[in-house]
Amino acid sequence: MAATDDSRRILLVDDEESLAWSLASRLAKVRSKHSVITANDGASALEIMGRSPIDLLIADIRMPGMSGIDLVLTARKARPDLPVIVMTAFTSADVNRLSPGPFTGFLEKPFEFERLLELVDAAFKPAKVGFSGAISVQTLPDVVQLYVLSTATGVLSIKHHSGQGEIWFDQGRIQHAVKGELVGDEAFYEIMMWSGGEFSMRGGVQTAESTVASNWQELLMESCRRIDERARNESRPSGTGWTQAPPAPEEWEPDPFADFDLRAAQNTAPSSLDVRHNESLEVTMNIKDSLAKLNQIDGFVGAALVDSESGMLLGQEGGGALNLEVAAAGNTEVVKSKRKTMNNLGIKENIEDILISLTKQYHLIRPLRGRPALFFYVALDRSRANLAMARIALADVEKDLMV
Amino acid sequence: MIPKRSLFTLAKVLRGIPILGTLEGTPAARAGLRYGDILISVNGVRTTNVAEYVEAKAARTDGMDIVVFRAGEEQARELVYDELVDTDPQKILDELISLRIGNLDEGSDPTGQA
Repeated sequence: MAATDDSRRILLVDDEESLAWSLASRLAKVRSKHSVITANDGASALEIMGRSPIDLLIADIRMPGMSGIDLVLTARKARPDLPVIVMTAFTSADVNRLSPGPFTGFLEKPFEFERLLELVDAAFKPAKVGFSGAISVQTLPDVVQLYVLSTATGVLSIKHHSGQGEIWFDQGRIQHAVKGELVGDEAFYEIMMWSGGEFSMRGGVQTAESTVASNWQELLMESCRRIDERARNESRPSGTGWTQAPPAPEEWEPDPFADFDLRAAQNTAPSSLDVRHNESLEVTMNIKDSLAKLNQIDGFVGAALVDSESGMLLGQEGGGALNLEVAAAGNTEVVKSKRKTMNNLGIKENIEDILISLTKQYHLIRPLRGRPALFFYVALDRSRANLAMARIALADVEKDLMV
Repeated sequence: MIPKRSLFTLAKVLRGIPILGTLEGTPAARAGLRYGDILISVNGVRTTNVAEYVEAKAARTDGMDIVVFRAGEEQARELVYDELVDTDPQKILDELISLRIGNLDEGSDPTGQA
């Protein structure tokens, strides 16, 4: 679907030369009236734009030297309404809620060529479908993550009906946060808790203030935990949702098999086992409930908690066609081998997680902190997964279980 | 075989950890553990959740003494861990697209993605 009759100049920037060339040649073929130029880094892209104006910029976010975000910000200084499409491996569908303003399309890698084509056509439509900074709370950590991972420098201003906040980035590091009287980590968390608002990013500006102590993973993880906690508190009265505490024993549905076992358990268990001890009953449900939380991750396929030393499968959720037990066994070997290799190499660090990227799935392995023999294993559908958020959710589940 | 929901119910009542399976050729499988057992204690310490399990395991490094609940009674077992076997690092690295090490230095690639 051609957007207009006019010819347009499209600049496609990706440091992977073969990818840039292949996308550009396909684009030029199916939209022959447009001219497509390629560049392999931000500096050459700016040079091309300086020589002759372009109508659409398509850029990869992660590039050596100038990042795609910096490139977009710089290009828009000269031409604020320049439509852009950014290609990234970590954005989520939530980012597409941003509206309205200069056209900004997001393409999650890997993508279908048709999706790029749709965005190109949309960028040239007279009534532009635009994006700016109207967001809901779920997207704010995504937005922060976007700037962190693109090693941005600048200030992100967030407006909320209760006030205004600023988060300063220095080459992707979250350096300073301010919200009213609050500064540093606490200001950051307060801002992340806002349930909607507007944001704008001013690139390139720097501050001498350095108030944020935690790294970005810790900040986002803690933010997600606080958001979760609030959601849990808010959902309690409704009596539904996965954040609910497990039902009291008297509310359980009768199950003949369970009755049989329960009776046997009661008859033979030592007297120290108090069957009416509700608090500890909830604790035991932790593994199941915590793993069930992973169900909320985009593209979730299945998850397991495995003790690779003993070989016990202590938790399991989902799985579908994937045989989690077999997969867990295989990953036990991976974790064991990795630990052995690190011992051999004299590496003292902890393995935070291991990512295995298959054509259609991501497999994420996360050993428990301090007890690397125990690990979580999560399988995600690669076409739908938001890997960064999955890592944060997994860390959150670990925190949940180890409290 | 006990249905999963019933297993969780029973584990709740017993304040134990349900064992959802054992991996072939591992100490747990050799000790005869299987889906449906409920882990009551490790190294003499009650284990009602994963945090307690992790703590109790630390008391021994070469294996674990456990008590499981099966078919109406408690049974004691001993698991002896395998030695970490030698492996070819290159073989593993070939399998891994990226590996993240904890405590990343600032300025290094936080995602490991290209």
